[in-house]
Amino acid sequence: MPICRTITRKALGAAAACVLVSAAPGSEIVDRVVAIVGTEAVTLSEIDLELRLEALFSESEPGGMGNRGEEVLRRLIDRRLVMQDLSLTPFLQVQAADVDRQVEQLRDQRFLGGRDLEAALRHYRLTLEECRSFLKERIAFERYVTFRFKTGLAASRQAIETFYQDEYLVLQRERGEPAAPLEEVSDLISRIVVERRATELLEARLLELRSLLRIESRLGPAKGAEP
Amino acid sequence: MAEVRFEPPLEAGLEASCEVALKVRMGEPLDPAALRESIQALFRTGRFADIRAELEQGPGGARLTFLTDPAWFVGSVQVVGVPRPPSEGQLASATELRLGELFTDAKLEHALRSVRSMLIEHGYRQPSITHQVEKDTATLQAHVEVRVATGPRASIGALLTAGPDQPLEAAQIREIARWPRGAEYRTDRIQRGIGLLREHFQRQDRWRSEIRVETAEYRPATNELTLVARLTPGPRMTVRAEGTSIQGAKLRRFLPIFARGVVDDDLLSAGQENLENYFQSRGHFGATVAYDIEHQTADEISIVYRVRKGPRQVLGAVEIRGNRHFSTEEIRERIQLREKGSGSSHGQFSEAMLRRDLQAIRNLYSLSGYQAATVSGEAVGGHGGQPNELAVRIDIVEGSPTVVTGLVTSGFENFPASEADFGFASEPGQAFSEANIAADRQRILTEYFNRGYRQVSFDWRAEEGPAPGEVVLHYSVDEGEPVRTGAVFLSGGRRTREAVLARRTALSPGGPLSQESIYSTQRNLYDLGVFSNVEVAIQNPEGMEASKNVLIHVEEARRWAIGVGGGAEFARIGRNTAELTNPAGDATFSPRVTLEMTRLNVGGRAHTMGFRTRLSLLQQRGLFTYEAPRWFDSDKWRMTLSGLYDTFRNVNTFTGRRVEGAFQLTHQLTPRTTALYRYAYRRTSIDQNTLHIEPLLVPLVSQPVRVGLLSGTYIADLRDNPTDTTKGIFNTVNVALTSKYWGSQPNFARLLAQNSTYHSIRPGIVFARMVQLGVSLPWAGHAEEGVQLARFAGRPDPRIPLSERYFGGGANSHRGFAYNQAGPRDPATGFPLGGGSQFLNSMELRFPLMGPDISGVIFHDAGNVYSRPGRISFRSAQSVRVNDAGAKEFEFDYMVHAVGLGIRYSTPIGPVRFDLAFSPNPPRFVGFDGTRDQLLTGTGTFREQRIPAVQFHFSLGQTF
Repeated sequence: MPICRTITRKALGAAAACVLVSAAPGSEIVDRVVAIVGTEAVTLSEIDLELRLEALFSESEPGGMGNRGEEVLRRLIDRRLVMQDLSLTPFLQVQAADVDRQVEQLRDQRFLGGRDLEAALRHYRLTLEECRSFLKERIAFERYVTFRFKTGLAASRQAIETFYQDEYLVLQRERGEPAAPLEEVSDLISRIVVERRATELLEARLLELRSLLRIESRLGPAKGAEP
Repeated sequence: MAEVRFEPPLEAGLEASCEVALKVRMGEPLDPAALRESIQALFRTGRFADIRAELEQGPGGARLTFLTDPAWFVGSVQVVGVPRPPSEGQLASATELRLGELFTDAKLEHALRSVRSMLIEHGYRQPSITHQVEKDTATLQAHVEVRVATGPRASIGALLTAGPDQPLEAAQIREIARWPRGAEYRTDRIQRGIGLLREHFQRQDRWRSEIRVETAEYRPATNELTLVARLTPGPRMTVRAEGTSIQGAKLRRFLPIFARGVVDDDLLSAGQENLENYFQSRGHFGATVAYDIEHQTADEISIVYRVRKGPRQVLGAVEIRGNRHFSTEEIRERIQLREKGSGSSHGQFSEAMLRRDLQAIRNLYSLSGYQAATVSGEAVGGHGGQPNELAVRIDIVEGSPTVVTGLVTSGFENFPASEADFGFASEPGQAFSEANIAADRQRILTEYFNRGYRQVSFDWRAEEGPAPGEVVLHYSVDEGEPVRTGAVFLSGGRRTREAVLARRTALSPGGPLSQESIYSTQRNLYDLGVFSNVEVAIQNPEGMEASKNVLIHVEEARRWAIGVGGGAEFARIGRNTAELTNPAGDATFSPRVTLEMTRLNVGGRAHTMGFRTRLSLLQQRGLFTYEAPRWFDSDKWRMTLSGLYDTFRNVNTFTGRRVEGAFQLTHQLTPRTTALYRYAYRRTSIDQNTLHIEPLLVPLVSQPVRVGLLSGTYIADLRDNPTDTTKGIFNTVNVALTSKYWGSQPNFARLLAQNSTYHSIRPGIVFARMVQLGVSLPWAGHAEEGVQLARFAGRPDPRIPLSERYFGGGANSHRGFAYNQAGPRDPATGFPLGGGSQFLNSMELRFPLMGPDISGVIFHDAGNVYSRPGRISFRSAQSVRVNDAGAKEFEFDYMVHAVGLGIRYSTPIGPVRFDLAFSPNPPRFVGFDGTRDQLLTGTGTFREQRIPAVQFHFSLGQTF
């Protein structure tokens, strides 16, 4: 079997399995555009890559796309939107040194089956560059949320009390555990309230960005493919 | 990889962009990451709607095929079949399909929804909308035509109120808003009705009314819309002012709470500021105003403005001291403080204004490198010994400027700063100024943009120099990749010749995609005057391509334009009658009708053909013109052919008829200088029955005459504003020659020159002067007749036909005379004969009178129309002699003076003016009381008369 054929098959892995063969005999669609975000394309192989990266960081065995394609694609679209929004804020850009620190932390970590980073990357059919790129986007995303939505946010006393009454006490009752006094858990509740508000703001911003840009999802059979 | 290919194959213009985008390498194993990057980069070019990568194993290796669907881009968008309103243009705009942008099905659906919404909003409840998209594979444009069949517009049906507590009954609303049942439902009618309802509440002092009208139900059977009106009248709002007599409507004009219908602190404060400004403008410089909401309930609100006017003062002087870098005049232009007499009888002053002006001067110095400059000022009373007169003293200590001692540039690689003549404002030796840097930045970016560098960015920093007060500037640019012009696609010019469009296009395929070229192309096409809309757009503006196609879409204007107008002239102007009385002119009313027909874009060449008629008691004129605005495709040449038929009576001595053909070339020498070259051939005849001159001369003067005239005119217009000039120069020189060689019967040469200058003395005050000299010289002809007929000194040379002589006097000439009443007169009848030369010197002082729109003029006109060039005289007294028969003979070759006053009212088309002139030495002459028959039979009476010393003139535009 020719080398290139072997590499292609390995690289596309599970994604290739769900790609349908086009009309031309002896040929196959190895990658394609599955979504459009503004002027950028998201490809089918990115979904596969995202699933393998997800498996790496969750220390689970890599699997196929199954029925998770839409969910992962939506995440990729959101991330692409955030990156485009972030590009307008130069001071939040991630430097190579920031990624280096994260990679060093990964090297100290043991992965599934006690593998070191290099062995784990091979196991998940990932390159270090793909991993770095993922980390870079993750750092950028965190900065975006922190600076854009969390800065200046504070939980009001009323919000903390409402959470304590309506959610914390109910949860503790359901668990059958004793409830701590409000003063003891107010810092924790405050962080949760802020986190929740930041998520709401992020969702609102994503909704706004979706309305401003051209978003198209085409995660179905490839054009010209047989059903 | 043995082969990488595209299906369908790439177009020639796209190969370069795609080659850059491809990351997969031949001869190497296929890298999935490289394939992914390739697809993404190819997609970013914007030229593909979809990309799929297909791998096929062949005997020589793997073959990678990129299967692509082309992207389409918006072409022309037309909406047809709509009865106005809305207009087709409004609907096309509502589609939000922009020329050159990516065309997608989603955008088309949105466009159709928008068209439907707008039609429904305008009362078309059952529109049928179909569309057709024509895709042009050569240009990748999708031309969209939306066809609308609206059916009849819905009419207004039942009118309901939103509830029982509404302040008006439905019938009352219908009457006030003028929404009768059965009237067409139109948004403008609904809006007008809402306005009327609002006015209804305003009459009850309810200025915060809210009126909403919704369509509740549509009945297809009757095509009627039920309206539901929700009226909230708002509280009764009363406002009074203490400490001033300003109340009622005048007070409301100062208070935006009434115009906006909202009461909040911002608007109340704005009203307070308006009142303070008003009183300060009236000389109450220390006026303060405070407001208070006295009483507020849901139905009533009462506001009081308390005014403390303070003493009335005058700003007598603004003294600026210590300025060396900027002249006093430059500083005055940047401040608001005004002394009395400069447009205001009290001047403009307030402490806040003084503070703002001091800050403005500080900023001016700071931006020019004088960071250490200090500016202080104070107002002092008792100026000129007057207790109520203030003087403002502004002291400036400039200090030393920070000087640029070096300029270091980097990044200017493809367009080196050393070679490009940027003409940096921040050169070494100049003061360090952020204003200069901003100007440099603008210049750099513009130059790069015009060379296709659309991603260029500029940065600068200042580094402390070797000595205090010195800086070294660093300019750096990131050029980015240049974008070139791909193909240029023209569309929409159905009748216009393609060559005409192509010649006006400043974009060349392969050249840099320059913003300036795009603007020039649009401007050039608009300048043709045959298009109602010109769009120039880049196709695929967001795509990352090395070269971009440019789309030019034009919409041709209606080719025929017809205009009918009416008007009247009322002035002391001549109107020819059989009566010989009143040779100095009657106050005459002359109604006027005009008809104009214009045909644009004749033969698709962007030439214009026109026919204009003008019918009045004084003139019947028909003028045909054919105009080629860009003769031989040059912006500098214009060709005009014209034919004229004119019966004129504006000289009250005779009624003439002129038939003329002319050929004229206009040469734009520079933006402000023009040369005209003209050949005119005309036949002029005079109705001998209307000639009001000595009967003996009638047979000769009334002969038809053919004149062939070659002329050249030079115009230099260096005025700041031709309609209302405040400074500049205007010069014209016209030289004309007639000769039998070009078909003329009389032979004479003519010169007419004018020089005007305008001087701004102080803001708003302009001194304008003008001198005009005209000379006509016969250079061959019937000398014998000339000698015989010029029996009296001061008679014009008869070799120059009556119709070719100079006539003068009137609103745009010597204002001491009525229209065309200057110069030599017939000794028997006293009617004007025209002259062989003219001289006029005018001086005007133009000054503001009332507000910004009304200004005044004091003028002096001196001059006359003279019998011959050699008889131009500056003598002020008219001479008279008694002839052999004992009758007085007046001569007219002397200088008539006139002084006067005028008023100007500014309008968008120039000032409307009224001038009143008084002449201390108007001409006296002998006239005849009676008819022509009585003159022939000698039964009438000769009477000594004079031109009225007082003349009035109405006109449009300044005198010169």
